Amino acid sequence: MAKPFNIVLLAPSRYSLITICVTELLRRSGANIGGIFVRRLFNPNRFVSEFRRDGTRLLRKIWKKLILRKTAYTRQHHETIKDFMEKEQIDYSHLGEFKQRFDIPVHYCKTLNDTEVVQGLKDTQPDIVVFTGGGLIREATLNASGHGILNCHMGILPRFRGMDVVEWPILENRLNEIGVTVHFMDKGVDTGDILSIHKIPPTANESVAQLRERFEPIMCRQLVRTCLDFLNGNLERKPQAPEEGKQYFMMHPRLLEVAKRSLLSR
Amino acid sequence: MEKRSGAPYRADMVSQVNQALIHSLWKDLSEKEFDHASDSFKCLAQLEESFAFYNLGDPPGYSIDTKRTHANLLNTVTPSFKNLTEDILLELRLNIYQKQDDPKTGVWTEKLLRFSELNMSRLKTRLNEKIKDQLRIRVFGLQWVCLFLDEHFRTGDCRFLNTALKMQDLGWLYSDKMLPNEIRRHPTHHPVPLLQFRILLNTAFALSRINQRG
Repeated sequence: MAKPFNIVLLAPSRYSLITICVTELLRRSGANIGGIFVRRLFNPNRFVSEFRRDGTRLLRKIWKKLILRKTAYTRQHHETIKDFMEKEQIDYSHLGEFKQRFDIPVHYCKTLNDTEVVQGLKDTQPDIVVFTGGGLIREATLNASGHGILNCHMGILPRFRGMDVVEWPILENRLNEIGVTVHFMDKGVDTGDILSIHKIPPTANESVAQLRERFEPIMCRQLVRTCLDFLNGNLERKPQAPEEGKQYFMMHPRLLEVAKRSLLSR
Repeated sequence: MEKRSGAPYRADMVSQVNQALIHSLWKDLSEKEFDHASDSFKCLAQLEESFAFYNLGDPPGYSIDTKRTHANLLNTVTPSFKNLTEDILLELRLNIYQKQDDPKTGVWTEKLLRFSELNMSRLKTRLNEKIKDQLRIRVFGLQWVCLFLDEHFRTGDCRFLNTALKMQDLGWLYSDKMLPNEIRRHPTHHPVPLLQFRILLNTAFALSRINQRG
């Protein structure tokens, strides 16, 4: 019998619904979850650096992802991560439960680049690492991650790198270039080798918020499917050339408003 | 990053407010005699389309020195914030106005876009390290915003407009509320109010074009 794949996950917080879903789907596929490295929430440096990047948007993110959590999702026509969890009968309330139920090691860290994380990865010797959020990854962590670190980017690569890449194609009137890309992380921003692209065209009367909600379960499925396909030798890495795409940054509220109205008025 | 208000923007309302403000500011500015020779920062250069869009009449013409003393600076230094000078900012803008298909312009603007996005909250400090004089820092920053707006018009790339909007949220650099006072305060034309007027006009024009397209 073939040895199960050894997979490690990197998580932005112990309450991340996406990490919970991806971990559970990988576990059910028969993979060995070698560990989960989770960023500690209560860290002033993290708050300052994320506030500098996201501004007041960070407060909304905290409200939705840490306080409201599943209750932030109301019943919609489309599938949300809450529906996905109900359908797949994933009932964990936080990542610590993987330790309680299956003795999967869960490590808490300040950043995903801490020496303990790098050492932990070296000790675990994963075949692959799956990133579900948690900030920039430095070379030492990248080098200790077997085949590499997989990320599911909320945009079509190589064209749309960086942030707010759901909104940018709308503003640029490129609605057929909305979707997710599973790729390996490298030193650059979303510049690593591509494994799979999944286009998600917006539906009629769909708002940007609804579109973003619809992305979440798709990202979980796509990440798990692509990870297993790659490990089984069914997918090849496709390198990106730097000049093939552009790096996008957080969208200013005035342009965000234009993008939102533009999507609704189609 | 300093932000003015957390209230959501209403694009239609904003464009109406801008239109009235633009007309009133241009009235104040045009009452002063405009001296082309003193417009060394090309504050009112290449504004034909924006002027026509807002029915402001003919913009003051401008001339480009063919024998620019700072010519070809772009070819002598590597694109980086460290090497950025007022002359390079001006040369980049003039390249855009002359529609020179110089790939260096794109490389410079891309580098500056990335730098300003990553250093937005520290921009004043970074400029302080480079330039000691407060007025020059402001003119430098305003020219930088003008360059991004010009690059947006040249390439149609909204990332440059996006960063220009974020830089306009920096209270120390730009304030359209303070602009009428700044125009009155200076007896003759001064680059700070003129560059701010240019930014206000071109931003409003760019947003209107995007709104119409959307």
